Amino acid sequence: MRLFTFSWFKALRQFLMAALLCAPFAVGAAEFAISVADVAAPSFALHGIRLVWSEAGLMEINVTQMRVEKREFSKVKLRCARLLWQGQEVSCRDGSLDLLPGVHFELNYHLAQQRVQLTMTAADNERWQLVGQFKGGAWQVAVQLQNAQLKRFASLLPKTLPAVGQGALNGTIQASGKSSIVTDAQVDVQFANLAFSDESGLHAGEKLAGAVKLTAQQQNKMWQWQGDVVWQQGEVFWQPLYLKTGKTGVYQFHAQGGFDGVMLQVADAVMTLPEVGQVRLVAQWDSQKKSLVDASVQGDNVSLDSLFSQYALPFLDKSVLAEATVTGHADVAWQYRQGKTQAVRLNLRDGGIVDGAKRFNLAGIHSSVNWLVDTPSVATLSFASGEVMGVPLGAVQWEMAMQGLQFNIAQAELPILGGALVVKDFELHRGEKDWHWQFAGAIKPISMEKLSAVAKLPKMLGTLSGMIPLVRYENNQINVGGALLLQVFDGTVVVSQLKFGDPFGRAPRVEANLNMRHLDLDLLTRTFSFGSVQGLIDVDVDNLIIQSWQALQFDARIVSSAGNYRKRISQKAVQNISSLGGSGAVAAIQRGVVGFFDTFGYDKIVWTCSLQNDVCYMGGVESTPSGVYTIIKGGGIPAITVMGYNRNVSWSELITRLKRVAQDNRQVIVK
Amino acid sequence: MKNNLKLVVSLLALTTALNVFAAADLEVNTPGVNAIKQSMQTRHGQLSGFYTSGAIGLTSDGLVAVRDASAVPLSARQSVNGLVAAENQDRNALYSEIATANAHPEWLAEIRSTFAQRWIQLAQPGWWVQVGGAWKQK
Repeated sequence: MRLFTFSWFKALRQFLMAALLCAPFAVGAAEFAISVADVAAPSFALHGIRLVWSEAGLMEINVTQMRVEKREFSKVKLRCARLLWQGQEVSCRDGSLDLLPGVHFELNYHLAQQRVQLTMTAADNERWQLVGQFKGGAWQVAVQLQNAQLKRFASLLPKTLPAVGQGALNGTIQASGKSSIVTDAQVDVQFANLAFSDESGLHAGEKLAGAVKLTAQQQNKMWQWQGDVVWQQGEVFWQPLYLKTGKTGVYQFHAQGGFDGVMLQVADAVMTLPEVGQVRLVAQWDSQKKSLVDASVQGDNVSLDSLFSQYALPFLDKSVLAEATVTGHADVAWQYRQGKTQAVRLNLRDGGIVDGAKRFNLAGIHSSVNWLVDTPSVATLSFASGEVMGVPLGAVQWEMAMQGLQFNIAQAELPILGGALVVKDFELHRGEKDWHWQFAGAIKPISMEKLSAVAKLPKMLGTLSGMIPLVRYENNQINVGGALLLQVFDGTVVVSQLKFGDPFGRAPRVEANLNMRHLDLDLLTRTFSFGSVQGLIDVDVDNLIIQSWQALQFDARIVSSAGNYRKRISQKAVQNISSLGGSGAVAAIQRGVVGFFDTFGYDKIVWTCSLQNDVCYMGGVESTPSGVYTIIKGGGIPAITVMGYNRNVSWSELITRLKRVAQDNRQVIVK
Repeated sequence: MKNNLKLVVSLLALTTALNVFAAADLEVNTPGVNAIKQSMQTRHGQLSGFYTSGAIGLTSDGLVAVRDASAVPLSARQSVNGLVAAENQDRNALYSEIATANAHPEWLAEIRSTFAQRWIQLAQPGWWVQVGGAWKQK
């Protein structure tokens, strides 16, 4: 390892030697001038050097081009108001360098002792004092800093690093070595009011204060080092992370390790993260390839609240967890080697997760996960309660087999609404681009009364149960293979061709065909306070597309089921049906008798609706050439027939009216 | 003569393609489009100050991007990133949804490009827009 400061002294010495050799030949009456073409060192070079020394002691050095590390400077001027040479000592008094405006320096160099002392001072008690001692090839340098302004040397830093805008240093930096090799270094520096930023502003810090202590020794090109960093004040944005100190406490980092010029080893590092806890780290970094070779991170009983919100959430802004908050404590560990994760441990205690968009939450989460990349293992996961899309979930305890990026649950039950969702053969695996999952299962009878309350629908009776065929998630789409069988309203519902597109996105889309048979109209209409209708109906809904939970398109047909059963419709139901299509859209024949009877007989109900562009194109049992169609065909005594006059009705308006009828139980007068 | 024929055929093909695309209804109204527009409208109040300050700008591919994070206090840069990510998610979903609603998913690129031009035309004076890969203040 080389320090450019040492090369600087070496180059300066070369320059002074060159000046001394040339001086006798250049002396004039009032001043002498010498020119040196180049002085070069590995990290330092001067080109086009001209030294002018007047009889009065004023010395100026002009350099056409200067290079420090990879930074280039043009027309550099160094000025000594008085250059003194007394015996063995050369001194530059009241010096200035145009690269460091406002800074005055004094430089002394003792030729015999090979000792250099450089003092730089500026306003506000700023002081940099450097003492260097050279003897027999060995050297020592010590720098004392007092309110030293970092901006002085901002232009010397590599452009790949964020630029330092301001900041002051206090403390000492010491180094020693032989020839151009540094063998020992100690840094004990406090920094204050430090600010840095790259051009994009995506890596920046402001008002930073803290301390750095570092000691390092080199033997046989191998460095051993140990250090402490304490960050006490300020804020940092390092995209996408934002970290801040203050009331939350201070960040501390203690580490030791080695460096062979290529590999940086961090052994036994301890990071104290405010509101999170302590995290231990062991890592190896390839400084040439700029890549992590291996790492092991471990945190015991860390607080998940800040760990998730500060360190995980910024990376999850496009995921379903983007608005989530997490609570609880956990033991976490992560091992990385050969370019991939080797092991993960997550033992969670009394955790909780709440989605800000109120889509889901889980409480009382416990987990024991010890995942290994090439060894099968079993994880346990449990939670006490939860909610998904407003549906409350009961307590669960599941076991999950893990092998690489393949996760399986043979069978699990998720209690919901007095019943349960039974999941069989759940598989989760990583595909080429994203995660895929699939399962089959069943619904154990759940209460329609509870489900309707959760869905904010009118109270429904009965239960919902059924079989769930293979459900598969891939490419941001959920496909249900085969038919989903449900029992509801004493009838059956078959859902086929069921697909969910972009299920967790802004505009989820559902496609399906529904075939319902023998639904009990009495249960159905009682539910919606619609007025009583006794009988059975079959409902077919083909090409159904629902988007953002609103119907976009379908071809629906509601027909009274075949067979012998009681077919009666109440006066109130007739009135409500009549009101749905708007004024004059539907009318009941024999309206004169509506007021005399509570119920009527009917022979057949047929209502079709083809929805396109928010318009429902309606039809019934039979149509007349004028377009009038029969919705309810009368039968029995007293009978009633309900006719439809408008074939095209706004679907939104129809839904609004249906909701009004269902919710307000509004009485509609048939004229 | 052969070249002229080629030109005529090419122009005919291009015109036909443009006519086909011209049939796209960019104002198509579906629940999905409405939900996305509603979400974007709600977010616009949070984004407008950042457009004005130049922290973010409109890109030539119909999205938004952080142009100068330094124009935002350090503590707000993370939330700006989040807003930009959410806005772009919605914009991508909007273009895709409009293409699907037009029953021509293959029109996605043209719809995106048309919207990009439209956003830039509608941008207020002082906002930053991307033209030919470079940022320019309107």
